[in-house]
Amino acid sequence: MKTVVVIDDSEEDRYLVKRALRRSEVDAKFVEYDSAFSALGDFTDSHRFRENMGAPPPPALVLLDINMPRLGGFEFLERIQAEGVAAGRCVVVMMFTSSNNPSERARAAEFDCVVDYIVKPITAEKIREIAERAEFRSGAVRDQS
Amino acid sequence: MTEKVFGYPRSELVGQPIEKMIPPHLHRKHAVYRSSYVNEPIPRSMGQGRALRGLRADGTEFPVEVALQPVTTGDEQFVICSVLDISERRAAEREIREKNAHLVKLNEELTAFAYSASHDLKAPLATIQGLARCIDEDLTDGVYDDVQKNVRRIEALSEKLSRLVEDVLLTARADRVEMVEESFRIDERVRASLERHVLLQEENGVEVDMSRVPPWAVVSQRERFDSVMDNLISNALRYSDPEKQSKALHVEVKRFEEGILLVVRDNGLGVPEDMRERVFQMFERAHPTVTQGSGLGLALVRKHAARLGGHVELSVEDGWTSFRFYVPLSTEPEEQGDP
Repeated sequence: MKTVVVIDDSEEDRYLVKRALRRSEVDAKFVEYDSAFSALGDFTDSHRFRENMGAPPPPALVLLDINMPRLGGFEFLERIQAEGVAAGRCVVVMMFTSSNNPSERARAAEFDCVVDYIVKPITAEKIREIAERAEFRSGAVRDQS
Repeated sequence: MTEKVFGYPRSELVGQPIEKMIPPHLHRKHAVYRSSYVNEPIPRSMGQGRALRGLRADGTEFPVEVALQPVTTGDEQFVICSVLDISERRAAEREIREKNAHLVKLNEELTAFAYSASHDLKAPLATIQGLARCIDEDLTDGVYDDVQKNVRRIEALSEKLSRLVEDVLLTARADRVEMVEESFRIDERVRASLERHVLLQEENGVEVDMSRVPPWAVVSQRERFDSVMDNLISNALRYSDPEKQSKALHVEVKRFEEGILLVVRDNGLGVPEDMRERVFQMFERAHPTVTQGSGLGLALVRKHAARLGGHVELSVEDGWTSFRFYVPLSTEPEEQGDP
């Protein structure tokens, strides 16, 4: 089973993801964090990571909000990249934001682990579409290991 | 004319060396320039590209522009100097430079603002859009469990967005508008601000101590002072620590240099070290769990401080968060009796 992780400080936006996931009928475990800080602990500790996200393959999909208090989405990516998490456990990250700002798109594209840039609000169709791609991605990475 | 510009009566100038009208620290160089001019006397302006200074009778210096015109009568060589006082022009140039620097800064702020607005103003709208779609789906499907909850969420988000827009306008206004100076009682303004937040204070169970706010009348921009008080007090109350048995907010006012120092201290959640500078920027919030804030309050406080010629500082020590707000005053605070 795959896992969909959402990291977003907005309770409503996490609800919207959860609901879109349910409606998409994609078979995935749903994990949510209300801040990048709380997620950081789980992402940088391999034991906790396995416990929360399940055994490999790792999370198929992380929906990461860009604009959060204190630790934003980009800072979160820098931190987990510095820890080697993204490369080692092949976290597939989609930036998830209300801003359609070209410079942010470009900044997101610079991270190897970022594969898409989704402008809110999310829909069930979008979840289905990215779940298909995410499955392909995690499968491809598994073959390499 | 020369008398007027330099402030001497004619009788004190005729027959005197030109150095009398030049600041002493330039005398040596001037002597060299003067002799080299005599060797090659052509009409030209003096010291091109250099800042030339004149010396008035009262000892003050001023910027000048000088044109030189050699005149030969018989076998005698004269030089006519036309001296122009360019103080006003220099002042105008300085003003243009300062205004330009201010505009550059405003423009940078505007860019930062547009960037933040693209997130902070758009985010609630995107969520409202998503929630409205949920309601639509549920109505179509005949599943009504979430409908009312989502309507409430939309209401709350609209309210939040409307407050945010108001705060944005306040922040813009803080920079543009000239506010009037007036005399007001500091203790009364502090008390009024605490009264405006009495609900929040009771809700969060915070003990307030303003015994160290003296009954002083000061002359300043009351509107800015009120806004600063409101923001610091509401922050202190909102970011109180629910885990703490006794929650406290202390307001203190004392003399500091040529003005006053206002201190607002609380034993609440504090500000993490990495956020202590960032909290003063627009749309920055330190605590994910406290969501009522627009992230503009402290940016506004800093703007007010700058417009009043003062500044604001944040420190966190032994579980106490202190905001220190320095305001210079043009007149001494006046001690007032009890009203």
